[in-house]
Amino acid sequence: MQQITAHDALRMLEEAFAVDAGSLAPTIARRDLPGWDSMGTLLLIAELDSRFGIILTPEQSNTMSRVSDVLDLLRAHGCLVDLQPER
Amino acid sequence: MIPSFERTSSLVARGLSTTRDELLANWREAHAGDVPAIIALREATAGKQERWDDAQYLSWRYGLGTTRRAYARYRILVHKGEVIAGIGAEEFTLRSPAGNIAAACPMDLVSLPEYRNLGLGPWLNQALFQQYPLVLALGANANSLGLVSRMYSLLPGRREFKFPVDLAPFLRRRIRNPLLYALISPIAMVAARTRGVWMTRHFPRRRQQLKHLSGFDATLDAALAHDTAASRISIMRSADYLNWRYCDNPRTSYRVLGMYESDALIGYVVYRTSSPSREPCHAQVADWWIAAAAPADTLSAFVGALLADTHHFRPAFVGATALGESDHEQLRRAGFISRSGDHNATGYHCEEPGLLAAIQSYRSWRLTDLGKDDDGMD
Repeated sequence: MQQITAHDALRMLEEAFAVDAGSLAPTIARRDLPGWDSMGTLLLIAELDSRFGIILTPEQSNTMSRVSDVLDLLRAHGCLVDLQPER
Repeated sequence: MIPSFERTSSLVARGLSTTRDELLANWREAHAGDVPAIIALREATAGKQERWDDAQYLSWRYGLGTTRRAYARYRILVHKGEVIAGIGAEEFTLRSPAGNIAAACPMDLVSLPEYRNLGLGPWLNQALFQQYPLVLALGANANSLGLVSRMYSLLPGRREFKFPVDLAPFLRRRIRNPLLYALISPIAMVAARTRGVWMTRHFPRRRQQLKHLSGFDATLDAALAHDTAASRISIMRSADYLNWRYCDNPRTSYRVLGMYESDALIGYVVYRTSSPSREPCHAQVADWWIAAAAPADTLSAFVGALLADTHHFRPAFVGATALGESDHEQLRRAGFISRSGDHNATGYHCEEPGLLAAIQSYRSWRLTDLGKDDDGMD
C-alpha cells in the first residue's frame, strides 16, 4: 500500500483543485475552493484510485466539506503517515 | 493530468455501479420521445424556466420533434431507465487558413444533483471530444470556468466592450470625489448625448443603404464568398445558419441591420435588448460582420442606427464581446470601451495532432457571441 505524508497529500490536492502550491490547509472548506468542482472531484477520484487503491464513492464524496475530510479518508485507509501537516 | 476518456469512463461507470461498456451503450443521441425527460432533467438542475417554453426551445435548438433543420444535437446518458445527464453541441464549420474544420460548441450541460460527484461534467465534455475534431468552449459561467480552463486550451483576449450611452453609471464608478463628479458629469453627459445624436444623423453615407432585415438571404452568402477575412479562424456563416440562429430563435428576439452598397451587402449587425427586469437596460450586439472593403466607419453607422432604433428603450450602453485584435480595433474606433472578465473564457480542444499544429500556428481568431448559448439569459 502506498503511503503519503500530509504535506504531500496537500500538494496532491492542490494539483487536483487547481490552487497555488502551498496555499491549501486542512481547514479550508470545499465551498471556498472553486477548483473542487466536477473536474476537481474527478481528479480526486482518479488520484485516490491509482495511487492508493481507494474507491471514493459518490456518497463519500458528497459528505466531504473540508480538505481535512480527504486527509481523514487517507488516514482511515492507513495511507497517511503523519497526523499533522508540516505547516 | 486529466485522465483519458477511457479512464474517466471507467471511473464514472464505477460510481454508477455499472461497467464501462454499459455506460457507453447508454450514451446516445436524444430523440423526440426523450423531450419530457430532458425537460425534467433541466428543471431538476436549473428550476422551471418561466421565461420561455422549454419544449419549444429544445425543438428549435436540437430539432427534437420537428423536421426543421437544427444546427445542434443533444446527447443524453441513461441510467436504470432514467435520463441522468445530457449535453448539447451546436455544430458548425470553423473556417481557418488550414482549411475547414468540423467543430462544435458544448451547451446545456446538466446532470441530476444526486449524480454530481461522479465527474460527469468532464466525462460529458470528453464524450464530445470523441465526436468532433475540434470543440470550442465559448464563454464560461462560475460553474464551468474551472472545467473550461483545465480541459480546453484557452484563447486569451476575448473581451467585453461597452459603448456608453448614459455616462452616469460609468462616471459614478470612476469618480469617487462628489465635487469632481458634480463638475464633470453634466459636461460628459451632454457630450455623450451629442455624440449619440450625431451618430444617428450622420450615418449612413449617401451611397449606402441601411435596412432592417427580417432574415438573411442570398446576398449574405454572395458577400461572404468574397470575404477576405479567411486569414483568421472564425465560425463559418451562412444565411441559413444565421436565420436559424437569430431569426427563428424562440428564446429571445433579435433585430438584424444590414448595410448595402449598390445592392451588395457590405455588413450586418445582429442585436437584442436586455429583458425589462434587467438594470441597467442595454442593447447587446450578438454578432456582426463587415466586409473588408467596407468604409472604416461602417460599425459606427450600425451603432448610430441601433441607437435610433432603441431610443425609446433608453439603453445605458451597447455591449459586445469579441476575440480578435482587428475586431477590438474596430470596436474601439466606433467608441466602445473594453473590459475583461472571467465569464468570457474561451478555449478549444483538439486531439488531432496535424489539425492542432495548424490551429496553433494561426493565432488570429475572430469570435463574436455567435455560437454562444446565452440568448435571453440576462
